[in-house]
Amino acid sequence: MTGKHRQHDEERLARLYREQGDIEPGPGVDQRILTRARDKVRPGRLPRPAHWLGGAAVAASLLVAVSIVINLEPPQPEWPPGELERQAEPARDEAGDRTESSAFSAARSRGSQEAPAAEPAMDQIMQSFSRPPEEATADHRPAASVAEEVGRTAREQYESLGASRPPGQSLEEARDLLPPVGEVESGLLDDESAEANRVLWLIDRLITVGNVQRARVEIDRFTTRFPEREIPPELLAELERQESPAPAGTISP
Amino acid sequence: MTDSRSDDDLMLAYARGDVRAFDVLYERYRKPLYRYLFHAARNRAVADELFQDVWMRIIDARKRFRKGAGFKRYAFRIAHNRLVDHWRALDRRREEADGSRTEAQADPADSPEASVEQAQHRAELMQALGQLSRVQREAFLLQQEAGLSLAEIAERSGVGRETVKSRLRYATGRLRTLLRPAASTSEP
Repeated sequence: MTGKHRQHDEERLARLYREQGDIEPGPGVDQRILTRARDKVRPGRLPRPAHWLGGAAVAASLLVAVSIVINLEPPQPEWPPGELERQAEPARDEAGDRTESSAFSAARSRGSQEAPAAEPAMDQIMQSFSRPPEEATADHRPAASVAEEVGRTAREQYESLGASRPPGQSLEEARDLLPPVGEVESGLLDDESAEANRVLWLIDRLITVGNVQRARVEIDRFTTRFPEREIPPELLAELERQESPAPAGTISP
Repeated sequence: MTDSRSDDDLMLAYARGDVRAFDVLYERYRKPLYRYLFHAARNRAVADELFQDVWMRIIDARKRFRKGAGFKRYAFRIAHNRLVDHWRALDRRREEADGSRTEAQADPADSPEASVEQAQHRAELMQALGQLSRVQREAFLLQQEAGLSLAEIAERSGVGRETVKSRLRYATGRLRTLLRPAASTSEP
């Protein structure tokens, strides 16, 4: 057999093999293989995220929610109660320190009594502290300027008393007629009522010491300055009593 | 089912999740792989089991397939290794039973249903292949079904190229002799 014949026989054998060997897998084998192939690459078989990712996501969501709630809280009032107390304390202390170094402390050291109008004056100061700073500073004068004004007023009163004091009255006696410096201060810081009370007290003292002329002048000023206030009848009665008899030895201006 | 992509591209596409690529690939190699396993094992039940196992291994190893490996060689190498495992297990069982090393008998239930003539020719082919030694039949089937060269068959079988050439020469001569009447009738 030549090589050509052998090659021809091999080709014929291969063809015969293919023609007769047309066999297929058994029933169900194809379906099992194709199903397995699909299951292996099904999207649902993608690796699942780690189990702790769920908890982490919940925690992160809670954190974000809490942050949003905090940021959405209504704005705090401009001066909350606690803040008012905190603001008032140093201001009160500061005012106290300044008054200690002012003429008030000197007056108190002389044993002068507390003025009746001091309490309302302090209340007014505290109310001004309770207001916002810009509003409070507009009304509240510094303690130094208050002390200067008190001193000036006291000096004017002292000079007026000295000028109008009756003959023979010593300067010390006339000075005793001055109201305590603390009372003057409270009158300046207080409202008109306190000022009126202070003037009434001064008139009473003038009448007491017999300076009826000066007392009458002050009464006229009082009625002009405080038309709504009424002068106590007993004060007027005492003044009229001292004006009418004019006994000998009465001090006259 | 036509697809212009190469075998390697189809396998890589399937590894990326393209199921249709696997369908095409399966259709291309379904019959050659099964014929190889069927004629080598000479038993339909065994062939079905081996065939399914080979494709499962291909599916599971899809991520490890690299372009240029050649899917045809890749698939038949898996089939060959699976077949060798089957023969080894079969030999162990026979040695344990009676020490004989007879080849497995052809399954009488493997008669085709297409036609009587085709069934006769197929039975003759099965009988002729059964008369070959295992190594001769293996070399013949790898050449016919996998299209492997002498060198590739030698590498796969772990023998020299000349040995494979001798086995193939003996196998084809034997089959030619056994199938001569059928071969003559198939001539135009």
